[in-house]
Amino acid sequence: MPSRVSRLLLALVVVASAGAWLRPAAAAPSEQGAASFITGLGNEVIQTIQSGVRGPAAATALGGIFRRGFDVPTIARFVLGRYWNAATPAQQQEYLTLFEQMVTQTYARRFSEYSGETFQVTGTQPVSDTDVLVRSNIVRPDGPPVAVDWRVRDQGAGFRIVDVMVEGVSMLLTQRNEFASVIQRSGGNVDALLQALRQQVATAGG
Amino acid sequence: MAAAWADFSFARCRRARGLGATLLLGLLTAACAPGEMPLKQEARFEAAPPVQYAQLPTTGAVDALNTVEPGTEPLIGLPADAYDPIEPVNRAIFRFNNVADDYVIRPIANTYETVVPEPIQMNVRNVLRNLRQPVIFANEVLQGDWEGAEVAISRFFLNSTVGLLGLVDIASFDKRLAYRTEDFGQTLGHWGVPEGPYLVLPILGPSTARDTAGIIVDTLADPFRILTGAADVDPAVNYGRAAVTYIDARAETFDGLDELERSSVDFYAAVRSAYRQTRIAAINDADQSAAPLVDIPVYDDFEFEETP
Repeated sequence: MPSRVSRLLLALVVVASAGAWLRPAAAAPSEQGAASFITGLGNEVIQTIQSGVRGPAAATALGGIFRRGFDVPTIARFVLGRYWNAATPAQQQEYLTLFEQMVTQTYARRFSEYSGETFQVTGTQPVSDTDVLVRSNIVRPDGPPVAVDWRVRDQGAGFRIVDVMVEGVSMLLTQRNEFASVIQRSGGNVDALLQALRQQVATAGG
Repeated sequence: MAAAWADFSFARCRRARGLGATLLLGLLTAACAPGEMPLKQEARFEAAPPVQYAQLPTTGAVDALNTVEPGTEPLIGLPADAYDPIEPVNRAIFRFNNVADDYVIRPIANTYETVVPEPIQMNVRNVLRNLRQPVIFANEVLQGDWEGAEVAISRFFLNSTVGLLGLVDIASFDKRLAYRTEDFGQTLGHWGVPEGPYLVLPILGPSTARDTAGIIVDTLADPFRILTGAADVDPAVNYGRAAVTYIDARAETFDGLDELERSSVDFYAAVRSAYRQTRIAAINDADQSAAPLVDIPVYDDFEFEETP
């Protein structure tokens, strides 16, 4: 049983943490809620595809689902990593805008390539005070099932995805390593990354 | 192949945060005397789980993962920046491999996929996997994974006999005997050998110094290679087996690679990262224990208006 003093010290540490004490003491996020959220999102994507929309309308609809489902600012910030602090506020804002555009395009395209896969949530696992890992299988008509894990964060107003792991490969980590490589190869210049993102958005954007 | 989440680098990160927390603590205890904490708050913290993710101001402590020196990267944990001392050479070989892919490997793999009927492709895959079982068994033993060793032995005997010399993967009907792959690179990783410099091998693709050593050992120790050599069988048989194994494996990865290339700004770095993460997941053997993942902080110090 921890002593009174050490419990108080622990309490002080938590209070000192930026903003932590402002939030009401929250229970761990509901695993059931997270699983339902993922299932609901998957169904929404499938319904959108099956409703027959194509082209720009599909891109807009799917992009909307993506932005609602994923916590893009958090993902963008994490992916830039240590270079966030090296960037000017103008660069930061441009980066966030470009990143959102790029990743929306990517996921809209991926969703639109849906062709009969079925999606099963196989379980959940808490990973922190705020996050739940929702494990799922994507069963493809040709080939073995793909294990995809969705890291979902409870943000009070609802859930949002903060990371996707496909067969053990984290989307966030991969992109962070990638962006770091681009910046490092140009000698620590964040503009090089912005340029690469502009190009990516321009070529991928219909 | 399922993913696993052992994370030594995260433990290192947590220690760094513990330091920060202690410093803050020191500042505060200088100002406040213990015993001034209201009882109500104290009761609340008693109910809460131990704080693991204290939110320090974002100064770079959050990115401690990226400040590990090259060559000292965590062994069975999430990767820091890759140790890539010969990156220009690797990039050149990577480009060469992509060209070879487009002009040679993909046409062969596509022909294989379209010409050979699907059931025959399954049979071929099953035979190749069965031939690998002795090496897999040896690696399971070397890793001390007795359950895995049992699975490998069972699979080998079941498939070689009832499964008609490996053509039919009869063992997979039992979920516990599902195919799992091991290699000497994973064994080395399991025992803590660091991955070493990242290498792009001609034709074979991404690898590391450790994994390349693993490939060499596995090839030399393969009992079927040894047996066919001793029995004076035409070496073309072994080359043929290697070629078919390669084509069979590559055919599965093209779609994923294409998608990665389309969505990446630096394809080489994306492949490098994905490869290293895949190896870590393989070494950790799909152990789904609740080991912590990389910490994705709750950022509350910047504003961004998302387009609705």
